[in-house]
Amino acid sequence: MKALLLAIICALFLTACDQATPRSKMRIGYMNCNSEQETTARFGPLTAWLSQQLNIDFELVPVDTQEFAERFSAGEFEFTHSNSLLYVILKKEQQLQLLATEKRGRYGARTAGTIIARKDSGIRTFADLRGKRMIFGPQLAPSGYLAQYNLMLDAGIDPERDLAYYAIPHGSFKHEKVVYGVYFGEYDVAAAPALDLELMIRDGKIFADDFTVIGESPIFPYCTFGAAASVAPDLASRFKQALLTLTPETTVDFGGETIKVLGSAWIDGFDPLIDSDYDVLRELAKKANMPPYQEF
Amino acid sequence: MSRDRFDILTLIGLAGVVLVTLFLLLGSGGRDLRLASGPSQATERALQERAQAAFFAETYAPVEELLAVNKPGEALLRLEQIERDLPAEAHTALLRGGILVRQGALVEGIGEYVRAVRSRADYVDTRSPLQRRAEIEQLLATALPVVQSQAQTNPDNQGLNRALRDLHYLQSRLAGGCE
Amino acid sequence: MRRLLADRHLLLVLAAGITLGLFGVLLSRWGNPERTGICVSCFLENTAGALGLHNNVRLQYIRPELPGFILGATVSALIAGEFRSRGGAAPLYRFLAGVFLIVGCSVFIGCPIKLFLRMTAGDLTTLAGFAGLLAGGWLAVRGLTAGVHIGRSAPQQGGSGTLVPLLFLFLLILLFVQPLFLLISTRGSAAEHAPLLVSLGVGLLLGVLAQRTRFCITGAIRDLFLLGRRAQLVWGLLAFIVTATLTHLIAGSFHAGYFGQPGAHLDALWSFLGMLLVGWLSVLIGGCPFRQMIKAGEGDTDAGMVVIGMLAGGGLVQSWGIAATAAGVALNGQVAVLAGLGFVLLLSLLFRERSA
Repeated sequence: MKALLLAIICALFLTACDQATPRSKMRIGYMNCNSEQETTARFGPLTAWLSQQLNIDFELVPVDTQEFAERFSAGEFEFTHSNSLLYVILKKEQQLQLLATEKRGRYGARTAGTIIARKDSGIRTFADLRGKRMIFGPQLAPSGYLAQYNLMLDAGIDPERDLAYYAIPHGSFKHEKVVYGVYFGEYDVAAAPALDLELMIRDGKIFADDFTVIGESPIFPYCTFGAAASVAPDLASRFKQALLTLTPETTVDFGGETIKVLGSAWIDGFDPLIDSDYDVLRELAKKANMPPYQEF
Repeated sequence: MSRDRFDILTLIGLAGVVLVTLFLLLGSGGRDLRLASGPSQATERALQERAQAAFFAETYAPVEELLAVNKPGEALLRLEQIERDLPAEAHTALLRGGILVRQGALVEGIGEYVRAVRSRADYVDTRSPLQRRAEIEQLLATALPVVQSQAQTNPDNQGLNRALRDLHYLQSRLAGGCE
Repeated sequence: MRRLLADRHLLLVLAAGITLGLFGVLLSRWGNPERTGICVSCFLENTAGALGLHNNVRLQYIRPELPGFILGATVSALIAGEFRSRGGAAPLYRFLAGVFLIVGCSVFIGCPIKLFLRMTAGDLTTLAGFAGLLAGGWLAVRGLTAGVHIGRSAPQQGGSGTLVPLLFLFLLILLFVQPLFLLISTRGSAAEHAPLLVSLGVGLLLGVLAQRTRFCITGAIRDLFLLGRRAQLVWGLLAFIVTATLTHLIAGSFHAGYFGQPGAHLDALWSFLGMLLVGWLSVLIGGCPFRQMIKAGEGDTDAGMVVIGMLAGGGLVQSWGIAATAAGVALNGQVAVLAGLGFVLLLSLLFRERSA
């Protein structure tokens, strides 16, 4: 009996020792869509869940779009969550490993860019865009800038010369500002991501009938998780598998609450796309003379 | 078997009830008493079918027009607008399925077709004016080999596996059976 | 074998199996839904719908095969002097058994006859159901040998054995007269049917043959476990399977495969459990759904209670979302099958004759 008691006590100590072993620390850089606060609130539960699943202390690093590539090169984070153009850039320049692509909206793990105008503006075709005031999304936004830029080039419109002028909004919620910019008549035409239009209609912020779509790009991959080339393939694979197992019902205890991981991050799920799925985006970047294929 | 007065009275009563019932039924010349209270089942069904067809034609006319002028993206947004007024309507899912497949979002498009057929079997029913068998057969013919081979090479891809299951469901519904 | 073939009764059993196999396939060719030339549970769901017991507008039609089975059996039993009103063996339990038989069938999508019609057309999804049916039969035989008997039947007064045949005669009249209160599907599988007189004729023929031979799918399985190949019903079942396969092949309706089969789903576990329930329950109450109809036609009010239970079940499985579809088995269906299995286990406890 004494021996049994001793064995149990030893086992308890051993378990305690095991729990006390410090977990390794790693960082995930999340591209800010609107603000650091929003990024932290959205992805905090997902980061905590990943820490739990992979037994690694992941730190959430909110990163501005323009600084993303630079801070990644500086080794500020090992895992990335960014738009698909940043993935293409980092893949080419830093050999970023593709993990999984985020699903959101009707196109799933893909999205598209549209050019819209007010229905009562009289603008119907690409030819009507000449001499008009246009508002784009941020320059590194594939569905808010790159796609539309290409659509116009394909239609024989040079955005740099044929428009009266074009602008890019400041601050947060740029995609919504773009849509409202056209709706309230500040601009004649806007480069709006198909996903944002879809969500704004679903939420009742705008009516589909108020806008006309001049053009829509082919679909291409949406926001993407990646891992630095230095991340061990086994860990990268476990990270990917963890993402793919997420369902809308998956929860995590975070900040004293039980939270739905995907719901809180505004994500429907993840798909294991392959690198060649991003070729369509590479072609767009080449045609628009955009990074990582920019030539001066 | 001897019959007492009780038996005889009961027999007379029974015969009377049978005779009156027969008289009512035969004398009515096949007239149904329910006629007085409303239209027949057949009329109601015909009305319902035509009203449904007219309602869909009117509601989805803008979407069909946009598709006719090759504006699938705008049609998709229009469907989003319709969905706000008619949540979970199968016809929205059916049209959206067609657009998504056309745009290259195969897995999502197949899922929408399944949603449509599951909630309104008319789309695979040869007798229904709403039937879209040819469209769904075409989807199966083009998508099944693609999804099958992709799912074989990527067995862990949940999206592809779900799409394959969905296609088999559509295949089964097209094949008929009693359900 | 020669001695077996010289046996007149065996020849009749073989004839019943061949007729069932032949017309089971042909009725589909003539207009019944695919692989549903004969299916007692589907037909009862259709009939329940026609009477307004559920509101699935795609499943409402009085299938004339059903009155055919019962009235054929009645005529045959009357001619042979075998019509006797009998019953009283736990009638309400039998009513519930009827409900659960339809639960099991609807979760599998088809009665045991349809199981074989589907299987002989190459539908590999039925293998799980077939295994379930065998397992259910085996469990029931274990129960029977351990002393489980669902009550004792006794002669009934007042000609109560005529009530179920009269009910189905009434349904047949309704089908011919088609009063406005009767619901008849104009689309969906219930709108698919062979010509009325053909269906009725086949039903009557099968009713007569099944009454003369006691043909029963689960009876054959029970006898297989109890008597082996000496059991005549087993040969009848084999004749049914061989004929149905050949007819499918000749008619061009044989398509071997697991996916995309008509009226089939891929939830193998629930197909197994659904048919386990049907096999187990059928053997305990003395016959598959088809046999229950034939016995009800012979004046057996216990079987009549099962038939009424099945009719009520036909309404319930549709109204409560229990019936499976090609998309699979809903939670309601899964819970209903488990409740059915609980019911069989309870029966086995309550109706066990224990030696003192």
